[in-house]
Amino acid sequence: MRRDRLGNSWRPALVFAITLITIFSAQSSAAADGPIKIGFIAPSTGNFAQMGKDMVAGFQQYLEEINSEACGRKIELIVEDEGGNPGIAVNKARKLITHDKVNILAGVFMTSAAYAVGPVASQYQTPLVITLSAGDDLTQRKRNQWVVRTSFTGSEFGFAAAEYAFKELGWKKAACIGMDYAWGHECIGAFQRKFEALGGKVLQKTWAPVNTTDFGPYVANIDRNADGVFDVITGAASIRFLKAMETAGLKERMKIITPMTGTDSSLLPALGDTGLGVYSVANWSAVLDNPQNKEWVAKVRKSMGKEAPMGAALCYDGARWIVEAMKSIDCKVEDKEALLKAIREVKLTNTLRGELAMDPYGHPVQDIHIRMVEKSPESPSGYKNTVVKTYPKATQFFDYDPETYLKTPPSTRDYPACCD
Amino acid sequence: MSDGKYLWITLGILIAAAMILPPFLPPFWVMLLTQTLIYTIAAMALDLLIGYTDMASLGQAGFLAVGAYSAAILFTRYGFGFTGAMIGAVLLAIVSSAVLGLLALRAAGVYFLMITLAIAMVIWGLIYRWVSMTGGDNGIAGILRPNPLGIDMFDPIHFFYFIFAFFIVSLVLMLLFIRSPFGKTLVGIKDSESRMIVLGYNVWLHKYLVFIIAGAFSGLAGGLYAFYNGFVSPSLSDLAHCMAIVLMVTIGGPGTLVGPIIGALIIILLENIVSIYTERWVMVLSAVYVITALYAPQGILGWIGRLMKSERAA
Amino acid sequence: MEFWITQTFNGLSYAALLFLLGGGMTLIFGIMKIVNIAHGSFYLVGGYIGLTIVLKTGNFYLALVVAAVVVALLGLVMERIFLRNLAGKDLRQMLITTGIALFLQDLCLLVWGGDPRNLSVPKYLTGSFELGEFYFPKFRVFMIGSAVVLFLILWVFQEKTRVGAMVRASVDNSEMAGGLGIKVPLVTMGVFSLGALLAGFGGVIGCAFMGIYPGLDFELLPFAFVVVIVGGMGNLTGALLGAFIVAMIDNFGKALFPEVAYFTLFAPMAVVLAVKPTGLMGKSQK
Repeated sequence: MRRDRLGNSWRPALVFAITLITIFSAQSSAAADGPIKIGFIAPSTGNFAQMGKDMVAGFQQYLEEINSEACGRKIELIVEDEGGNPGIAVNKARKLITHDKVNILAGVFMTSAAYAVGPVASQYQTPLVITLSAGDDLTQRKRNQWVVRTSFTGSEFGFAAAEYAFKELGWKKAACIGMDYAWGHECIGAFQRKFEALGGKVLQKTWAPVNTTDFGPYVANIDRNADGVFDVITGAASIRFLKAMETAGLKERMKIITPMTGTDSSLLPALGDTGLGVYSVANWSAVLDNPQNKEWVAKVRKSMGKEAPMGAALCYDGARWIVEAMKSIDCKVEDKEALLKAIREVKLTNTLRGELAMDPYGHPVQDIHIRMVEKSPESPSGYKNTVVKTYPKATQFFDYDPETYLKTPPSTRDYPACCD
Repeated sequence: MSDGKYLWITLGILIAAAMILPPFLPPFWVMLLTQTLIYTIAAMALDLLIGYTDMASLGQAGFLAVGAYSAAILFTRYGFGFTGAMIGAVLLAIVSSAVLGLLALRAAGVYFLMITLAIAMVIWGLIYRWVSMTGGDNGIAGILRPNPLGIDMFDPIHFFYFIFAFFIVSLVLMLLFIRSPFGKTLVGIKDSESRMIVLGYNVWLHKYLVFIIAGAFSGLAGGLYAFYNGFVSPSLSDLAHCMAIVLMVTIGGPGTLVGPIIGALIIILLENIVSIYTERWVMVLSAVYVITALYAPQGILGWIGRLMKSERAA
Repeated sequence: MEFWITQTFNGLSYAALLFLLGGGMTLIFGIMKIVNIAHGSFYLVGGYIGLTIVLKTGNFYLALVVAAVVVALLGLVMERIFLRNLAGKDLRQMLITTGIALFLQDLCLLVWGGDPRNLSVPKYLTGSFELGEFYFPKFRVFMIGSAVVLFLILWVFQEKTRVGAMVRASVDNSEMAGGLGIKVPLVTMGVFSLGALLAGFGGVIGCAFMGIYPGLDFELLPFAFVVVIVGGMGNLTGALLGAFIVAMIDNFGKALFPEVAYFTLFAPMAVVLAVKPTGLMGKSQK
C-alpha cells in the first residue's frame, strides 16, 4: 500500500525534475557593467514601513534632481524591502550584491539590521553607506573600511540629551525607558554616562520589547522622583507611549526627551496635542534655517503633501554624499578602495543640515540640535519641531576623547550598570 | 513494483542535476539552491511526522530555531568550531524536542496542532526576550563558515557541495529509517492507531521517538542555516516560518520524502524570485496556500499522480 | 499601594482586549475545531475599517458597529466558501486560514498603507477619572465595560436562549444535533461570524487604544492562542478567565520583571499545557 503511493509518484516527479532542470539550465550569468548600481535597503512592510518609504522617496528625489546620472554614467537604483527584521535585510543585501551586482549598498533603517548587514558588506567587499540607521560600534569598536554612515548614532544623541537635560533643564535625577534593542541600549547608555559624569543620577533603566502594545505597566512603574524621562521609543510605539504618559498624568509633571525617531514629522499628526512640549535630540529639523532646507521642505510639502519626514531628509543628504564622492573620483566606482576613500574624504557644503564631513571613524561631524514640539500654523500637520539649542559640529564622541572612549565597553542592556 | 523503481530514478535525476549544475549557475542561484537543501532537511523531517505518522506538528520551525541559535551562540560566544557548534545544535534540538514532546503528546488531533504551534511561539518568546543570551531582536551576527581541509567555504559553490553532503546523509538516514521496522510501524499507526495498540505496539513511545527524531533533523537544518546565513534572528520561530515549512511538505506531497524536496524548492523560489517581480508576492503566496489546501492536499505529486491514474484508467 | 491598584486596573483593561481577541477564536474553535490563523486579520481589518469610518464620519460608535458587521460578513463568506467543505481536515483548514490571513494582511497594506495609524475617540472618552492620587484613564474603563457587557450578552445568549442551546448542542455533538433537526451548518456559520465579529470589534477598540499597523495581526496571534489554551478551547467563560489570568500575570510580570515580558505571557500557557492540556475550563478530550 505504501508502495502504491510512492509508485504513482514517479511520473509527476519525473515531469517536475525535467522542468526544474530546464529552468535552472536556462539561467545565464548577470549582465555586464555600464550603469552605476546602487542597492538601497529600507523597510516597505512592517512596523517601520512608512519610515522606509520616506527614506526611498528622499534618496530617489536627489537622484531625480541630477537626472539619475553622474559623469555621463547612468545611476540605477535598486530598492529592496528590509522587512521588519534583520534576517530579511541580510538576505536582501546578499541578493543585491550577488544577483544585482550593485556597486554600493545604501539605506538601512533598523539598527539591528545595520549590525547584521555590516558583516555582509565586508565579506563581499562592497561599500555600505548607512544613510539612516544608527549602531554605535559600526563606526566605533567594530568599524571596518567597508562601512560608513551619513546619519546619526545613539552615542551622540544620548550625550547631547544628557548635556541639555542637566545644564539647561536642570534635571538632577532622570528615569530612562527604551526599546529593548541596540538603538535603545546605545542611546540610553550614552545618556547615562554623560548625565552621571555631569553629576546627575539615573534612577532606573527600563526596557520594553520592540513591539510593546500596551505601555501602561511601564508608565506606572516610572519612578515619580525623577525630574524627567529620557525615552527611546521609536515610531508608532512612541505615539502609544506618549499617550500613556499623558493619561497617567505624568507628562505634565515630568519633561520628556526622546531621539528624533520619537517625534518625527511623520508622527506629529497622529500625536496631536500629546506631542506638545516633548523635547527631541536630532541632527535635522524641518524648520532648520538654511536656504537648502527651506527650499527642500517647501518642495516636499507640495510633492508629498505632508511635512518633510526625517527619513527623506537624511537619505536625500545621503544620496548627495554618495554622488559627490563618486564625482570626486570621476565615477570610477569599480575601484572600490578609491570610492571608499572618496566617501570618507569628501566635504559637503550645501546639505540640508549645512556643512558635513566624515570623522576618521566613518561617521559625520554635524550639528546636533535639541528640538521641542510646538504648534505651527504653516506646517501641514499643525505642529513643528522647533530648534531650541544647537551643539555645533559635534562628533559621535561629543566631548569625550575618541581613543579613551573606545577603550570603554559598548553601551548594552546592562552597561553602564544601573542603578541601585 | 517497477513504479517504485522509477521513483528512485526520478530522485536520482534530481540529485544528479543538483550535483552537476551549480558550476554553471550564477552565484545567486547557487545560494538559493543551498538554502533549499537546508530547508529540505527540515521539510523531510516534518514529513516523517505528517506524511508517515499522521502527526501534524506545526512547531518544527521552533526546533530549527533552537538548532540555529545553539550553533550561533556556541560559535560566537563560546568559541566552538563548526563541528562543536553543529553537535551542540543537534543535541539541544534533541533535548528540547524530548522535553516539549512530553507536553505536546498529551494532546491529539487538532489540539496537537494548536499545542505544537504554541510550542514554537514559546520558543520564539524565549529567544526574543532572553536578550543577554540571544541578543533578542538584534539577532546574532558574525557566524563564519568553516574551513575544512583548507577549502574556502565562503565560495558559494564549495559551500553548496558541503551542504549537499549533509543533505545526502540526512536523506539516506531518513530512507533507512522509513524502511526499518520502526518506520513501518509508524505507517501502521497512521493507518489505524487503535489497531496498532491492540496488536501490542507501544504507540506513544513510537510517536514520541519520531517526534524527537524530527526535532533532531530540524535542529541540524537550523545549525546549517546559521552557518549559511551568517546571521540568526527570532523570526526563525515565528508563525509565518512555521506555516511555511508545513506548506513545503504539503505542496510537494506528504508521505513521499521526494515531495518535501520539491516543496522546499517551490516555496524558496517563490519567496525570493517572485518578490523581484511584484510587490504583492505575499498575495501570490497566499494563493498558493489556499489552492494547495483546497485542491491539492496531497501536493503536486499527489495531484499529478491522480491525473495520471485517471488517465491510465480511462 | 498606588502601584497595585494602578497595575490591577491596567491588567483588567488589557484582559478586556485579550478577551475580545481570544473569545472569538475560542468560539470558532469550539464549533468548528479549527485554529483560525486569520483571526488576527479579522482584528486588523476591523481596526482599519473603524479607522476609516471615524475619519469619514467622526462617529466612534458607528465605527464600532460597521467594523464589527463587516468583519462578521467577512467571516461568513470565508466560512461558506473556503472552510465549509473541510470539516475535520485540520491541517488543510489551517493552511487555508493562513493563506487568507496573508492575503488580508497584504490587502490592508495595499489599501491603508504602511503608516501606523491611530483612531481618535470621542472627547469624553479621553483623559482620566481622578480619584485621589489615582488616575483611571476613561478609555480603559470603557474597554473593561464593553468587554463585560459583551460577555454578559453572549453568556445569556448561550445559556438562556433557544438559539444558544442549539449552539451548545452543535458543539457537543453535531451528529446528534443534526438528527434532532438543528441546522448545524447554519449554526456553524453563525458562530464563525460571531467569532469574527468579536475580533472586529476588538480591532476598533484596540486601534483606539494602541494604534494599528501592518504586521499587528501576526503579532497578536500568540496572545490569542495563549488565552484560548489557558482558558479552554471552545469555552467562552474560559476565555474570560484565561484573558484575566494572562493579562494579570503579564501585566505584573512586565512591571516587576521587565526582562521576562514574553516569558510571563507564555509561562501560564506552558503550565496549563502540562497539567490540563484542554485548558482550565475545557472539556477532556474524547
